[in-house]
Amino acid sequence: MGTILLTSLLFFFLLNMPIAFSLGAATTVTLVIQGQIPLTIVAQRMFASVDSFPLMAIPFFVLAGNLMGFGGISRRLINFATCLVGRMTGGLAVVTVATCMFFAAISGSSAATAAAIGTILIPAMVQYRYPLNFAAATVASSGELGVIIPPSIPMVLFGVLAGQSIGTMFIAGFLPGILIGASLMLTAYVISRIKGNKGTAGVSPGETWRSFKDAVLALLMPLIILGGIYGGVFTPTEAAVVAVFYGLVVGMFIYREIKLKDLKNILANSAVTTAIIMIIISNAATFGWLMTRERIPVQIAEAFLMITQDPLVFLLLVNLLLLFIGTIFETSAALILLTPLLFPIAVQLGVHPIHFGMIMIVNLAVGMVTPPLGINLFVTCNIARIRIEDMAGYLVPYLAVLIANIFIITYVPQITLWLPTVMGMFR
Amino acid sequence: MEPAEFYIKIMDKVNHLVTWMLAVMLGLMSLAIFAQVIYRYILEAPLPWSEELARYLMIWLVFLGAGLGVRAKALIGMEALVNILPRSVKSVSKELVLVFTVCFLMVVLYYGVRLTIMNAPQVSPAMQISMSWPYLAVPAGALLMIANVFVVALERWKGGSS
Repeated sequence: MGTILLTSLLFFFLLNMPIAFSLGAATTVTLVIQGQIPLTIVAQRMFASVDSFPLMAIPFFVLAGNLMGFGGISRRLINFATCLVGRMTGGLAVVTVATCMFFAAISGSSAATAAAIGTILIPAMVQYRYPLNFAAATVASSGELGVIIPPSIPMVLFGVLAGQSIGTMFIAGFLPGILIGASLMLTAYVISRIKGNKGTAGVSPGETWRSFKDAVLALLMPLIILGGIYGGVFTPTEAAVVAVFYGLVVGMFIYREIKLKDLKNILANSAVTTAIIMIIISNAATFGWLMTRERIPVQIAEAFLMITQDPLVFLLLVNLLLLFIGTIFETSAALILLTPLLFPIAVQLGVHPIHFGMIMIVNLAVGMVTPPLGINLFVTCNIARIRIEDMAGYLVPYLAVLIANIFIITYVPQITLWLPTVMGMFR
Repeated sequence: MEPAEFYIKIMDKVNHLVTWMLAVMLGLMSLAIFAQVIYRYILEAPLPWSEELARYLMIWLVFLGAGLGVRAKALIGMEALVNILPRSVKSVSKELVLVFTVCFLMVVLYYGVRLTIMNAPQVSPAMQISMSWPYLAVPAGALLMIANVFVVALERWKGGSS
């Protein structure tokens, strides 16, 4: 049965059928051929897998991110980052990474981060005579911080799938996010040094202070989200809805950039974005249910454990597998299908559950910046009006740095586990 | 192709209406969970129905929203893989996808209706409404997705090869 399931999935993928429908259709075909379980189960599983309160953090984080983006937050964050690091060599490229780090602390999605920052900074960089392809590659690769610096939609999903605390995952994401952000800034600096891209004009401390005051309301948002979850006041879903109302109040009444008539579009766009992510979750979970029922995870676990019992070798194999899967697979679908396969083995080999979650997420995040299926590349190519091939030359150094980060995060678990440990999140 | 244009026009109206419904549903979800936070932590009188209401709204939002996602061609496939297919297969791949997608969604529609009818006597734990209401989202969404799959196909046939 497992063979039919996987072959039909591959068949639908080859035809370029939408990923959500491919997963659902492969499940249906297998059930029809098997002929034991009534097909009602397909509709039932699709329903049950999205009937979840923790997953409701997804629409709320999408909405909060859109409210902040529309409410003029991105521009204020960019101003602040420019005052801080703009005058360095490659100023605007470094600013791009820094702003993506700030924005990632509001948004849970990497595509949204790349879109919000890229729309403003790609034209700005071109104006300052940065190569267009360099600008696009910088935005695409730093956009991945969106899912690593909390909040993060994939972390919500991993928490639900592996039965781990979403709040702990969020806290654990901080240091890896800062590590990746810092190394991307360094890369942007080195490339700009070689290309001779100068920084922006220096600014006075007074101007920096003003830009900080202007951006402070945006910078406070992650504190509210994480403080609330950490203090045990909110569940992640409730924290996300508090972020929604915070973004609404800031955008409508303080920055005054969101008008009442804009609300319908912001809500509707957020709803469709949510639906596109969650219809994949719904179908992938149905597929995953049948996969588990056919005992495929157990067989794969046995095969894995035959190759190696060494956690370090196992993690190396996992990294290679996830990097490969990440390049061709959509992130939520990959998480839903691979978490039940890999998580039990990892725990059995003594890898910390939260650390393993982080490894999965940093790997799959790199998949968003690699062709053929890299959502960040689609977003930035769309903004810069170029093709993926055009920016390939600049993408390579960034990808090399991102992959180096994966290995550091994999083999130095303290980067992930130190902060949650000192915050007393492990009992 | 007069009927085709008429169909697309009707569907544009339907999709416009659904867009409004989605905006209202997401707004209501946010209000329900925000009220839950206020009632639990400030008024210390937890609301029994807020979580359930928001969950059922989200299910509707996902299935109807996916219908609009189909219209916007926002549900992505494995773009790169199709390029390794032989030219002859590639040229008909879109029509094959159309057939398979509609077949799959018909299954979801048919069994979604059965599920809705089957669950009619069940009552939700908190709000005490018939479980048909949340389950109805599955066939309703499948129907909208099928309808929009045809809108996209009609536009493709009208516009030539691309």
